[in-house]
Amino acid sequence: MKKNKLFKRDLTPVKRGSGGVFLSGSCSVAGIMLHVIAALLPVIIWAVYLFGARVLMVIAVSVASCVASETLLTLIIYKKPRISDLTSVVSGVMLAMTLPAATPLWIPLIGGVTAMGIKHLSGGPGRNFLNPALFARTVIMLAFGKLMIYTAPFEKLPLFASVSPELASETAMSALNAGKFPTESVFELLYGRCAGNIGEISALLIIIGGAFLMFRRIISYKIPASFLLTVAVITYAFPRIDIDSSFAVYTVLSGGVLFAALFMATDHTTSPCTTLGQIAYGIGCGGLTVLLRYSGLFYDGAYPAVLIMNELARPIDALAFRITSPVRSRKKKKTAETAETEGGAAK
Amino acid sequence: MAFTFSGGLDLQKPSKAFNGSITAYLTPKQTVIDFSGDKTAGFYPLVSPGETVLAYQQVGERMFGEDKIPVYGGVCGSVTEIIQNSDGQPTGVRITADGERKIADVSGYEGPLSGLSPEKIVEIVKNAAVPCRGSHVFAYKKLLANTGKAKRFILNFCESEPGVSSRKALSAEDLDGVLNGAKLLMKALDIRRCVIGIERESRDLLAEIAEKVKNNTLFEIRKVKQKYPQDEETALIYALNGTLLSDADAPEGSGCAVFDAETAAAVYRAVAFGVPYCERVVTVEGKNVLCPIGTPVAELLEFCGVSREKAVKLISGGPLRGKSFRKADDPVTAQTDAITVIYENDGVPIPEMTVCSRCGRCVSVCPARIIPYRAAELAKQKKYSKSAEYGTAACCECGCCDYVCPAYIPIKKLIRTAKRRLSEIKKNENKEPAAETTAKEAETENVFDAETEKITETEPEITAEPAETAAEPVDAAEITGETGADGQKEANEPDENGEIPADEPEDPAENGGETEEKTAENEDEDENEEKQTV
Repeated sequence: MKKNKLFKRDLTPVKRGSGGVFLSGSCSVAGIMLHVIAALLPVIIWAVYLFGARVLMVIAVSVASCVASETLLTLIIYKKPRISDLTSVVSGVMLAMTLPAATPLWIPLIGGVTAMGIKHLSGGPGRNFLNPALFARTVIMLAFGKLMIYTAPFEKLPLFASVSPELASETAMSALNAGKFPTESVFELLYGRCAGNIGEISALLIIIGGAFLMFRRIISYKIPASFLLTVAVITYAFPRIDIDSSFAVYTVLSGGVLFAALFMATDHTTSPCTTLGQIAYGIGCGGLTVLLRYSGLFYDGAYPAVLIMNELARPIDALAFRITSPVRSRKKKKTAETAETEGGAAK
Repeated sequence: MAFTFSGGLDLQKPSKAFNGSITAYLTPKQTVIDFSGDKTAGFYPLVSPGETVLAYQQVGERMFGEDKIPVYGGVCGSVTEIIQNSDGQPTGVRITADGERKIADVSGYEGPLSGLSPEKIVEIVKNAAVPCRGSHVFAYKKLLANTGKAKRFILNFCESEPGVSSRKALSAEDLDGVLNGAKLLMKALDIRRCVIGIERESRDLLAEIAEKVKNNTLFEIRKVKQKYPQDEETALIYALNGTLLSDADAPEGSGCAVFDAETAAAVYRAVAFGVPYCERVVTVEGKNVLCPIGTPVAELLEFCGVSREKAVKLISGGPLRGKSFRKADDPVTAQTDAITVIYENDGVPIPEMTVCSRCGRCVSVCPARIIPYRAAELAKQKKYSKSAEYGTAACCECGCCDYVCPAYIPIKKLIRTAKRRLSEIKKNENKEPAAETTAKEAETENVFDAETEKITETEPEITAEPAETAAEPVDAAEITGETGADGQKEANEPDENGEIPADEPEDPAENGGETEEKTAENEDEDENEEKQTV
């Protein structure tokens, strides 16, 4: 049979009813989520290499908790489970990424329930205005912050049992916060041989993952770029401790700044979608991050900063749309005429 | 440097040579001229069954607004039927051709074309019934609307959709006609400057045009990027003039008059030779065919050697903006620039629609720079006036949003519905409530009334939010009643500080909309079945 020449690989024709569009070039929501998981895979593999199989344990508990509580919640709210689109899996992975490998395993369990709870109570899939993983992490930090232990790389961690506090090691970020020069070199932070949360060890792998998502047009470069630039510019201009000019570099590479900028702030549901809105959102995230790091209670400012900006995402979008959109005030009353000539006179 | 607009889709790889030759198929067995799809305009036949007609002969008249537009037949033969709709109103004629090609006596304007007055040109264009493809109006109407307003004339050579090449084929064949037609149109508008918008990738045609207008200061060539939907007025004006059209001004407001190459060619033919508009070039699977308007699709496909054995859908136009034909003997209309066939094994059924995750892809591709997902969401809840705030009126219905949507939401369809309903409501407010509601629309009537009230409340001020929220519970209660999602209200409560007030009742409303959408989808599937059996 003669094959239609028009339809190529990325042009999938669809049998849609009249009035629709007969081409679709998009993967599904589940496809997008698979992309995100794929982008995180190198990061996870590196973490497993550094901290052992306990990393997988943390991720597994977190994902299982998210999927189970989402199933339960959707059963209660919609009378049927709606978990097919992998969003809960991604939330679980994201949550685990923001926890250290030595976390007691019941913490991601609670985190998963919290994440799905906030997701469904703040509007349900696609409408939650808070990033579930970030919210859960912030709750965990507030409630169990003292139980979080950061261990040095290649420390032997038990698979199930809790890790003794004696193994605790300092992260580059906590050193910076204490006004000390981090023990790691910039290069070590870049390729990732340092203590920290599972998802924020190797800056390079995080950047590669983010670049992959940008290349596949899953996320836009605008939020990460404006976020990181803001952090870099402020910390360069006003360094908190005077370690030549590398304070800015250390701030961007240490802690969760990169991970938050590339994976957390770009979450579709909780970030703006207009160009101007995205840039404003990124700047807001960056500014808040520095503020929280300099004088906040949490020295890991990136996650709370994004969480705070989450609430502002929709107002920012609305404002940005009002500024840039072609839609002017309805006072003009011309709209009726336009609609008439466009819609009514269709031949 | 190439001009372009923001958004859009990069669908076609550049430098795809098109098959420029046009095959003529001027003697189909029959032609059907039918306006039954257009409820706004009446058709008055001037011929009776059994009468012999010639090609280019006037067979009837139709109303377009206040004006009477002649309708011409493209073939020579005998009238076999005056098509009527269910109310007994004539809507079209069927002409069975006798296989010959006898042309009615037509003559162009005698004397030098430069001596024509603008009024005369408009009159000839009107009498020849030359349409504009892009805006679905007649060319004379556009000329009148632009007279005195337009400062710049844009001649559009950009192709409407990937895979469609009828515009370029016609331009390559009749470039003199196109340029002369453009001159005539400029004369009618009293403009001394013509910007030619053409994709830089179509090098052959570009070189040809450059050669033709080399020493002519009237024309200026501007290359644009090959991107869908570059031929859309909004996109073209933005690319070439830098003006972003708002929903409050029609294209005229920008000071640009955009005319397509084929319109210009048709104008020249009408003025110089008196040929009315009753034939057009159609791209059928890469081949360009010149056929009379009214040629049944099946016949045209047969002529092109395209089998429709395994075809599941025949589309009038390209895959992004086209409409599916209901039956295989539906005719080619003035708007059919291509016929796209989707076969059984290259068409996948659209996956089930999921919830919008606000990924913003539709926003990033929208050439009109509106927020499609919001507009569609509100349209689904039948909040048409609210939806208009997100720019439904500026929407050019290019379908980019549908193409990129990962949740497979029929955004274009929803926005179009919102647009139509809103204009209907506005019409009803202004004039007599003489809306013909079809059976499909009747079931939504009660919601409709509530909507009308709401509009009168919110009309005077955009910031009259309290009125909106006051009117809202009616909607919400109604829809929650339908779906019975009780846990939902509670679940939505924390959303109240989400600033956008319409956020709350979304989910139940969406469920309601979803079921309706599905029935509509099913109907379409039924149509589809019908067509297959035909």
